Formats: sequence, structure tokens, C-alpha cells
Amino acid sequence: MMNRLITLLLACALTLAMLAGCEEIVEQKQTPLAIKLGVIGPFSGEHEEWGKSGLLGVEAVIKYHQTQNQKLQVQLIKEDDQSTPAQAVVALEKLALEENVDAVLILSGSKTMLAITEVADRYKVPIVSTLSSHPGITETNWVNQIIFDDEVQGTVAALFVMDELLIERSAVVWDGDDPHSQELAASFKRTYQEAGGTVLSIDISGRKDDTQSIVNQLKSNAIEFVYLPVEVGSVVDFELGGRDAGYNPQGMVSDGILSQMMLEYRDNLDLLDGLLATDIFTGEIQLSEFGNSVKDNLRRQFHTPATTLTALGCEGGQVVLTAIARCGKNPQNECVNRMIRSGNKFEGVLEPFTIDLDGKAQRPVYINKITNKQLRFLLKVN
Amino acid sequence: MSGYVDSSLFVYSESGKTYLDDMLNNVHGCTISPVSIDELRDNSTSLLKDTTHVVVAAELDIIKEVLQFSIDYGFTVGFLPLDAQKALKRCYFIPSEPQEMISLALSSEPSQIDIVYCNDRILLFKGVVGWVPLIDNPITAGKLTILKDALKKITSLRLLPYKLSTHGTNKNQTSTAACGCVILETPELSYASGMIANDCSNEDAMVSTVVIAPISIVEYMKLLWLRIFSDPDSRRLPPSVGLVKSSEMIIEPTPHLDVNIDGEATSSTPLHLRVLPKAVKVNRGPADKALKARKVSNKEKFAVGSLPAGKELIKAQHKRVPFFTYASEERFKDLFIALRDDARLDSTYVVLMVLSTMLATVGLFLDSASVIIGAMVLAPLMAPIISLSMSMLRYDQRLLKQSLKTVAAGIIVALAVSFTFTLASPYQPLTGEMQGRLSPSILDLIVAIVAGIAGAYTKSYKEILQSLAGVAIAVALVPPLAVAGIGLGRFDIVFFANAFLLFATNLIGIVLAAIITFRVLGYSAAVRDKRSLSIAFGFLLLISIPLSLSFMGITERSRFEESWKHERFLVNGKYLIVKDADIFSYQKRKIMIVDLHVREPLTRMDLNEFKQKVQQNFSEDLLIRTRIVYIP
Repeated sequence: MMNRLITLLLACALTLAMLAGCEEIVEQKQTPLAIKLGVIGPFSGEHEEWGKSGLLGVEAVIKYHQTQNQKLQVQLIKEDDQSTPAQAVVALEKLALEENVDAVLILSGSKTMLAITEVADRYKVPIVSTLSSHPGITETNWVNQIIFDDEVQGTVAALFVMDELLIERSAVVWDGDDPHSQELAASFKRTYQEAGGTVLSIDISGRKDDTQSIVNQLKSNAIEFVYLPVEVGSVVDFELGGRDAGYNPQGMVSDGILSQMMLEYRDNLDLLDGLLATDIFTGEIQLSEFGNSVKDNLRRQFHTPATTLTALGCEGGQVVLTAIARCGKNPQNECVNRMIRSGNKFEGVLEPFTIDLDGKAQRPVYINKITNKQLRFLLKVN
Repeated sequence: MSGYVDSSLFVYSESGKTYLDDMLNNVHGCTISPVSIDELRDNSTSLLKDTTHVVVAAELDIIKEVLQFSIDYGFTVGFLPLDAQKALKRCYFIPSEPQEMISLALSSEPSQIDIVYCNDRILLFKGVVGWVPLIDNPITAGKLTILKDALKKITSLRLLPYKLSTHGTNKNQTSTAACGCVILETPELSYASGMIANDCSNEDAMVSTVVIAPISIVEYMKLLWLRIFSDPDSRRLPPSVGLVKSSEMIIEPTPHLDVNIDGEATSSTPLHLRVLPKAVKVNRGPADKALKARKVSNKEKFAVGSLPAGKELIKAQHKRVPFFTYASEERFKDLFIALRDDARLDSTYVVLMVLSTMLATVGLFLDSASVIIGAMVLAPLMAPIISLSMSMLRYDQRLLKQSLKTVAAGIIVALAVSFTFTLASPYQPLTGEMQGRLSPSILDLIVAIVAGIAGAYTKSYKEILQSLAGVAIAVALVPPLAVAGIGLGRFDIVFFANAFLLFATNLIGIVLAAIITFRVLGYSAAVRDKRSLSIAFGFLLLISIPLSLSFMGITERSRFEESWKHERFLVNGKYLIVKDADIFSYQKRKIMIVDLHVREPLTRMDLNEFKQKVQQNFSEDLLIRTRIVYIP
């Protein structure tokens, strides 16, 4: 009797396993085996390291998908925009019209992305921006963000200072030449003032060689908190100026600063110690299963540690490859774009995230403190 | 030394011949008649019948022969020790200088000494039967050497059955088990001799035997500790050591063993020891101050209390001694009497149970920790539980039944009192003190185990018995029972079950820990039934399952609460600070309670979005409740 029961159970288990296997085969059959993926990034020029670092992430996620489906072939077509928006637009045209790619990943900043946004509708190819958080880039139907936009980031920074640090008087130092900086500063200032605070706003465009006078201005106003949504070079100048003037207010930088510092100012990393930073990632939260696998790939195959830029490249690749897979055989550009904006979860390095119909990512903002050259987790804003 | 003998026979062996010239030319004018031992043997009567003094310089067996002749013929004896005869020099206080030796040997002021016969062979210094570890070595032996020797032999430690009987003034007899024994006639420099310094003399008409019987490795280690770190104390025998002192005794181990007499295996057991008091007169030097100062007891002794007896002997027949000590009830009579008293169900116990439960129930209703602590101290439940542990360890069925009955009665009384109180109360609050006793975890088991160890330990030592109150507070037996009773009164079976699980955890933890503690302290029965320990372990394993699950739940909950303190929400531009979050199950639904701090008023829309964002972190549907504090 017992033997019969065991045989019956084994038979059931076998049937279930076969059925599960069949399901997997069906899923694999539907997944296209050849994908053409275009990548535009600053592989030379001023922000060369950003491009190279992000590209590593894209390559690592392709390897991750190929480990899961060995028949998958991804043709990666790289186009260097040389850190100039015009070059990026040319590259997009080439990828869309000549190479006929399934999707394009762009590893450049907001200036480039804003230029791309203007022409994106012409080519009707799904575009995923890994770095730009400018709210304007999603004004077209074809450009999607994978990081929170500047509006959210600036708001979070302002409310954190107001409601948690309980500082009612602060300053924002921003760069009028940088749209990303402009947006963050505007958002911070607006929210902070609406919450009852007063903000001293300082535009450093045209004053970049005069950091000391900016520092002195802040010091004379006895500002306790300074929001610094500027590029890493300006942050370094500000910190050095503060040291010289013996002025050390609590500062907060925007996303990706530590990574950029690691790539461009490695020797001055300790300058960032003690600064607060809003970011996509944090140093002390366990990686997701996906994050761990990609991290292993990076270490094993590319012999390089991951930076925030690498992780973003990786998540951008993940969004594109997952959306293409969800469209099944012979994916159409419309389908891929729809799948990106479907609100369905994409696996992320730390946790899953979604992209709304308007192309904006829904994901938490981490507030970190930079300590010993690492992002130390303070808060997660959902 | 005022006088010397006029004439003396000088008996010598080949080795003692070196003294011949000095003897013949002695400065005391004594006429010396040298004679070899062979000549003496051949012509003993003619040579000894008119002899008044004999000086002997020969091996120990020849000396003993001369002493035997001395008993027969009544002459006095002087010794000229050979170089190797250090024991002779030491025991008879013979100087090292040859001329002084001769002067002492020819002295006319002898002392009378006893002669001890071991199976009719004369014993001058020491006899050994079996193996005598740790104590049969010089007091001055190096600590490291003792330790190394002791540890090397630890695995071969074995006890053999021994019969010891005395046939002197008092007739005593005992059957015991021992490693071996050492028979001492003259004080020497060994640790054993130091232990019985006041019972070891060749002038007391008695012979002393030190018996060593470490009944466990633990006892052996205790003795080793004493041996290494303390000097021998002649006022108190160490544990595992017995002393028999009599004018006549028989030592009979099974199987028979060789007997080493004065360094030579010249006999075997059974060993008949008898003393011939003041049998010979010998010349010996003045003793040192310490020896002179000691008061040698002339009383017979039969100190065998610390040697195995009764049922303990069954254990002694095992090949190796056990690790932990075992004991018959007689050995710890006072403790067992106390434990039997504790296990008794009487009116005092019931009254105290009623009062302590009432106090605990009121304290729980009032949410008053101090009242509850009062109840813990008053509660008499700990004592029968400790008795229960001992009864399980020794498989004492009478004590087991008695203590089980008392514990069960205590539980019933406590449940009944708190149940009645709750039913009668028009107000049935759920206080923090009650809630604290509704989620027992593995940590509570650890508290119970530690308290059980402390309980058994304090019970074993009268001097720290006052600490039992502290133990009772630590483990708190009555309050969980009272909470269980309250649960019954509320007709809430989950409430009852959780509180009773805490009580059961305490009960099982204490019982098991106390069993182990009693065992380590050496209260195991000589004939032990392993079933009781297995049952206790079985219960422990069984109760560990829900406790571990509960502990995991608590850990997970605590991790969740901690992580949520770092969560913030941006809802329609409003910043929501999570100050506290708690999640619990209620009727198959998970409820999450979140304390929020916000600056702006939250609308229904904001709360909906907040709920959606929270829900994204969970796979199952949540009921979310928020408590909102506005930041001005």
C-alpha cells in the first residue's frame, strides 16, 4: 500500500516537473534569439569614464541573460557621442535607420538626453536613458528614464532637510549651465520655501573660478546647510574652498557624485566625507538576486568592481532585454516601448522598480552619508 | 647522648663492610664483635643469647631479620645505613656523618618502637596495594610533573572491590571499592603521609592505611586540584580518600594483588596487618621540631565515609570510572531529606500558591511589575520542581510521584484562582505585563535553563540557599500560570495556550537544567535509569520547536520594525516620516500599524497612495492602520 502511494506521488511529481519544463521551453521559444541593441555613450571626451563604466554594466547584464538562455545572441552596437549632444543625435539616427536596432540605451547626461528627446519621435525606436534624471527628457513617447527624475530628487532633499534635519534656513548652490543642476535646484528651492524655509540661491555659472567668494558669501550668511546639485568638479572646488575658509556646513550632493568622483578625482575622495547624498543606490542594503548575479559577472568576466554608473548601465540593459523578451518573437518597437512603460516590475540591483506610462521610473530615493569613501545608508524614501 | 654500650655485635653485609674499621676503632671504647649475616643465621642462638646490643649495616631485608632476632632475644639495635638507605636515615633521624652515625648506633639510650607485620613480613616504612594515584608522591614533587602523570593515567583509572576490616579494640568491616591503598608506619615526606601526619607513628601501637577511591573523573580532578594547589591538611581528609587505623586489619581486594612492602613486591593480598607494640628497642636520633610538636593520636580510626558503599559498588565494578560522580542517598542525607520535604503537598504549600497567584493576578490586572515580583518571591513552586529534577535524575519513584503530585496541584490551584478571579472581575484588561507573557521564545527557555542551574546549585549548598528567591524571580513561574488562568477566564484558548507554553518552557527548562546540574555536582544515583533524562530531553526538544518558531517570528518582527524606522514616503509631494511600524496577524490577516510624522494634512488620496507604496513591499494583502502626528 505504502509503495503504491510512493509510486503515485513520484508519478505526480514527474508529471508536474515535465509540465514546468515545457512551460519554460515555450517561454524560451517565444524569446527572440537575436537582439540588436544600440548603445550611445561618451566613450571618449570629457565624460569618457561615465560611458565606459556604464557600458560594463550593459555587457554584464547581457552575459547574465545569455547564461539563462544560451541561444540568445545580442548584437551590441556602440556609438560614441564624444560627450556632445549633436554627436549623440547623429548616432541615434544611424542606429535607428541604418542598423535597425530593437532599442537604444543612452549612457549620457541630461544635456545629451534633452537633445535626443527633441528628435526621438522621428525614429520611433524605444530609448532608455540610464543617467539623465531631467524631467524634460520624457516629454516624448519614446524616451524612458530608469532613475527618479530631478523633481522627485530635489523635493526629497528639501523635505529631508526641513522635516528631519529641522533646518529652516539653507542655501542651494547650482549651475545655470547644467539643466540637471537647474532642475534640482528649482525643485529644492520651491519645495523648501513651500514648507516654510528660506533659501539663499547661488548660481555658479560664470563664477566657477571664484569659489572662494561663494564660500565667503555663505559663511557670512551663517548658512548651516548647503545643497550642491552640481557636477563633481564644482563639489570638489566648494569643499576645498570651505576648508580654506574654515567653513564647514552640512552639505548634500545629488545622485552619482561618489561614482563620478571615483572615476575622475580618485585622489580627492576624502573631500566628500561627511556629505549627504541622494542616490539610486546605497552601500549597506543587501543586493537582490539579480544584483548579486550581475556583480559576480562583473567580477569574474570583467575583473572590475561595480560603480553606480555600472549598476545603472546594468539596470538599463535589464529593462530593454526584459521588455523585448515580453514582446515575444519579432518584437515591434511599439510593443517594446509599451512593455517598458507597462508599470510591470523590472528586476533591479537592489529591488524591483517600475516605469510608468509617462516614461518615468518609480523607485525609491536613498539618502546616504558619504563615510570612508562609501555610501552609508540613512533613509529610503519610497 | 650520655652513654654508649660496652659491647656490641656488628652484623654486616658485603655493602656494610665499609663501616667495619670505623666500628672496630670506635672512640666510645665499645668492644665490637663483627659477624656476617650468614654466620649469624648459622649460629644465632650462640651469638645472640648473651648479646645486649647489635649494630647492623646491611640491606633492608637483613635489617628486618636482625629486628626479628631482636624481638626474639631482646637486644637493642643500632643502624648504620648504606648510602642508598635514605628512608632509613630519614625515619630514624640518623645523621649523615659516619662518626656521628656510629655514635648513635652505639648509644645506650634506645627507643621502643612498634613492629608492623604484613602477612608476617616486617614493614618498616610503607606498603602499597594496587595503584595509589596523586597522593603517593613526595610533597615537593613538581606541579607540572604531577599534572602530567595524573592526566596520563586518567583513562586507566579503575576501582576494584575491597574489603577492609579492623580487628583491634574496635571491630569494623566495610566493603568498598578503591584504586589502591598505602600503609604507612613511619612519617615520611609523601603527600599521603602529610595527610595523616597525626596518625602516623611507629610508637602508637597502630598501623595506618590510606585508601584512595576517586569515584569519577570529576572527583579525580578535584583531588588533583587539591594535590597541586594545597598542602596536605592533617585535620581533614580530602574527598575520595579514606583512613583506617588499627592495631590489626585485613585488606582484601578482588582480584588479589601484589603487595609492595618497603619498595619490594614481596607479598600478595589478602593482606593481614598486625602491630607488635613496642616490640623492639632501636637507637634513633632526635626528631625535628615539627615532628616533635605533632600530637599523635592513639585512637583507632575507620574513616571510610567518602569511599563508595552500598549501591555505589555496582558502579565501581565497571571497567572505567564514569565522568560524573554518582552517589548513594546516604552520602547526601540532609539534601535528600530537604528535597523530600519540598516535594510534600501540604496546606502551607496550597495556601502560599493561592496567595501568590492572587497577588500575581492582581499585579497583572494592575500592570504592576512590583506586585508581580512579590508574587514570584512568594510562590513555592520552585522547590517541588527541583525535587522533581532530583527524583528524575535518580529515578526515585517515590519522590517522583510526590513531587509530580505537588507540582500538578500547584498548577491546578494557580489556574483555578486566576480563572475565578478573572470570571469574577467585571473588568478584564489586556495589560503590558500580560502581553509580555504571551509570546514565549527560545530566550525564555534559556532563562529557565540558567535559573534551573542556579536553583539546583543553591539547593545543593546551604550557605547560598538565600539566593533561591532571586532564582524564583528570574524564572517567574506563577505569573505565566496566572496569565494562563486569565486566558481561561476570558475563554480565549490562544491566550491560555501562549501563556501556558511559557510556563511549560520554564518548567521543562528548570527540570532539565537542574537534572544536569545535580549530575555534574555528583548526585547521580549509583544505579541510574537513563529513561528519565531521555524523557526530559524529549520534552525539551518538543517544546523547542514552537519556541524556536516564535523566536524566529520575534526576530523577523524586530528586524522589520527596525528596517521600517528608515523608511520614508513621498506621497503627492508630502513627506511622510515612519517613526514606528508593527506588523501582526489577526484572524488570518496581516495588520500593519504605522506611526507617521507629517507636516501637511493627509487626504484620502494621499493615504491611498501611501497604502499602495507600502503594499509594494509585501507579497500578501495587508490591512494598514496609521497613527499620524503632525509636525507644526
